[in-house]
Amino acid sequence: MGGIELSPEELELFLTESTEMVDTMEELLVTLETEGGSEAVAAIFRAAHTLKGGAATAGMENIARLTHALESLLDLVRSGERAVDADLVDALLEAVDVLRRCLAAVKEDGTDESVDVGGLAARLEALAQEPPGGTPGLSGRADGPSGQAAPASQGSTGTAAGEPVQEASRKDGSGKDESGKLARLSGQVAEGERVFRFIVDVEPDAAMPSIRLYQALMVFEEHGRVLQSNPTVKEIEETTADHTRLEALVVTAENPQDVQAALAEVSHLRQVSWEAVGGPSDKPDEGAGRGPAPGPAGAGGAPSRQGAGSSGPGRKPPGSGGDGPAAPSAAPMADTIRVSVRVLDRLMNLVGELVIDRTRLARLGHVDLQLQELQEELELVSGHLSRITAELQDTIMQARMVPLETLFRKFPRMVRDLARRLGKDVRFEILGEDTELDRAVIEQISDPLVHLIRNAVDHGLEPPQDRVAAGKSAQGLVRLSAYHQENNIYIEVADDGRGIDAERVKRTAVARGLLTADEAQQLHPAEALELLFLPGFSTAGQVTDVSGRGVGLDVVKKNIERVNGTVSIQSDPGRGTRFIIRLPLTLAIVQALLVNIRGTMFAVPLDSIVEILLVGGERVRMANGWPMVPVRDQVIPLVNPGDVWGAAFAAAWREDASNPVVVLRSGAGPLALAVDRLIGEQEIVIKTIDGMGGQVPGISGASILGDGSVALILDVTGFTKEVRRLGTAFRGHGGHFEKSA
Amino acid sequence: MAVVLVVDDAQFMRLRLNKLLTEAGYEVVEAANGAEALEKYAQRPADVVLMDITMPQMDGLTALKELRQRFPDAKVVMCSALGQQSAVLEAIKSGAKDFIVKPFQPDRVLQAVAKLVN
Repeated sequence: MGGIELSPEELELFLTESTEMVDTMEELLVTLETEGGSEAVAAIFRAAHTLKGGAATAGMENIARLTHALESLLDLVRSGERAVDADLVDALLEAVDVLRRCLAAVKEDGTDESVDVGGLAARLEALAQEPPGGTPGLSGRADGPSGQAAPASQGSTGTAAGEPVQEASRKDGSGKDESGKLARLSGQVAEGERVFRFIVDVEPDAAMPSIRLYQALMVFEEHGRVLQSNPTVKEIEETTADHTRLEALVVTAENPQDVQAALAEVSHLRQVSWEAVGGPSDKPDEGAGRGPAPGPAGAGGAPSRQGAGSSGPGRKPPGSGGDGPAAPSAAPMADTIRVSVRVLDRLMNLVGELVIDRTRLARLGHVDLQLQELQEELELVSGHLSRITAELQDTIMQARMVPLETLFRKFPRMVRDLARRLGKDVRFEILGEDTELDRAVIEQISDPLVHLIRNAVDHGLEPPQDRVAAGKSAQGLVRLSAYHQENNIYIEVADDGRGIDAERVKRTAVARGLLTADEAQQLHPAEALELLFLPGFSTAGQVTDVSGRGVGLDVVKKNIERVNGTVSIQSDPGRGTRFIIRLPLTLAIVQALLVNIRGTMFAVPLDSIVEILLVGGERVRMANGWPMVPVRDQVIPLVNPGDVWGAAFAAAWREDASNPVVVLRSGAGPLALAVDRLIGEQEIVIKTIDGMGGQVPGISGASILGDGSVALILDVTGFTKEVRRLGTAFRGHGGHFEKSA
Repeated sequence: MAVVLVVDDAQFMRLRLNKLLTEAGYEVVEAANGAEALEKYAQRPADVVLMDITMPQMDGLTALKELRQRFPDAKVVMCSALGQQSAVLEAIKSGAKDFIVKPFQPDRVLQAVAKLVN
């Protein structure tokens, strides 16, 4: 079938969906190798099949060819004729990689012509020829012939929405009907006619969607016959319920593509897909089709949007600032995201409400009102507005949230390949992949996680013989887990390997001149581990191509701090290591404490505040040249912002009264910040300050407050770092606390 | 230039649709009820008819049926309000090609017209 001219929207949809299919295949392949199971085989087969149909429809011949070869091979696996072994999985994974390259080429040039798939397709075909049952180990799990695992609902319209129907008649010439139901139906199918299952989706915001489906049914009747449909004509005629999806079994003598094209006359269809149901329809380019509704693309109707994270404040262009470790495969995150129709509907409603407010406000300018009435009306409108904007904010935030699964799914493959290359036996566990995180944050932590997981497999875990010698199981464990606590998301990468020797870390740090032997002596083991994050530190004895690529944990730390996160490390020598990443739920909006310092408003993110205290002025003590304040049973360093930003920002410290102090969380222990006045808690929207990003240490951006004034946002990590950098300068005098000391 | 016949009893609606369509490069003919629409169409067949459902004298559905009977090629887009689902369904069964729902979004009106003109 000739290449079809695709519109940009169609191409994007094709890419998004195909990428999902490839991701699914990859994920399932890794599962298949470790756990086996006919369900996984069936699901991979379905993904390959759907991908093939889309590619054929879009005219992507290489993808179609490769998926066809995959399908044939998987069919043998499914029927138990070919065993699952590491060679097979290797080849299938390679196919996944090549498919990715094809998709990348399509994204670049609009076609997959440039990718050579011939060799691999031939290899897949050769694998399909191999005599079966060579390696009994894994093949036993393939469930033998019952691996067909045909869904019970085949051929009925009750199939779960969107689930592709399996064709049992894939193999050329086998021609068996897929179910009894179809056999009955076949009586209604004349010579030259075929049965297709069409799925038609209406744009989510279209009015009277059921009638659009009714129109689609009329089109089907024009071009063939509708055997079954859900909803039925009757259901549409007799109820006013809004149906937005139609599934119909259609008998037609025409090409399904032509029927699909004919649906263009129905307005506001979002997507039409079709699949052959049973019957001799195994021409590779006629398995299934899917695409946006033909004809003029509905303006703004599709439930995807461009670069959700691209405008996220604080987000820098990829690749800027430090070269992070490369991702395992060139799988760019699709730059559209799926948003549930429910969320979009809610947004639409809320915008509608805003329009009402606008009208009410505009009216106030034209109508003669008493001041009293005006005030009352304004109060009403502003009350309504604040409720609506709060809801809008919530809903938009919800739309920005993506489950971590989208990121985590690529790791099992990476760990598998890595373990195979290093000759290690690794069990990789993922927990909490349904935890949701702002999309912009997810993109930023991908590289750091790749780095930490590679580290865990390469450096964390010992070779099997060492493990056995140490009395451990030969198989090492790497666990990636995510969870939600308060306003933060935590992601941990833990291994049960050799752990990190704090003394060795200290020695290396001293050898690298990062600190003096004396200083090293005084470090607590936990503090010593923090040294790993210093630039230029690397404990790896040798450089491997796996993780010793000259990029250290300092880059990991930098990347994570870029999204206002922190990373810490715990290690139990001989038992394992755990990296803990703490991330804010979102980048765009934070809960902050507003404080006033010399007339300037500062916003301190709540998640970096330990507590707020009033400290009697006389309670400051000098220790080692530092002003310190007692906080319960602890004594913590006190810093006056004036010491960092100059006298114009020095908080007044009254010796004879209580002074407000904000205790900040920092990597090196708490730090007390003196301020003039505590204003209160508020949600603030972060705006980056163009042209001065990072120029003032300790300031990450600004926010506009309700009264229109500006607050500077304290970057606690940067601030404490600057304090430490200036630390030595403070010693010997008390800075702005001199008088009180 | 493609001709659009706008049938609506409300002058305001006719005015707005006229402005929108004229600006988009169509020639607009107006009719205030079904009878007038049939008359105007007979004088000069329009490429697309935008037909309101609720009108005095001869309502949109009656006008649609009569129009389709006399001129089977007439391409009609029904203009309905929310809640007129069964009327719209009847119109579709009676040969209306498309429908739009008030309040009109200009791009949807233009989209529907453009689709039938092509």
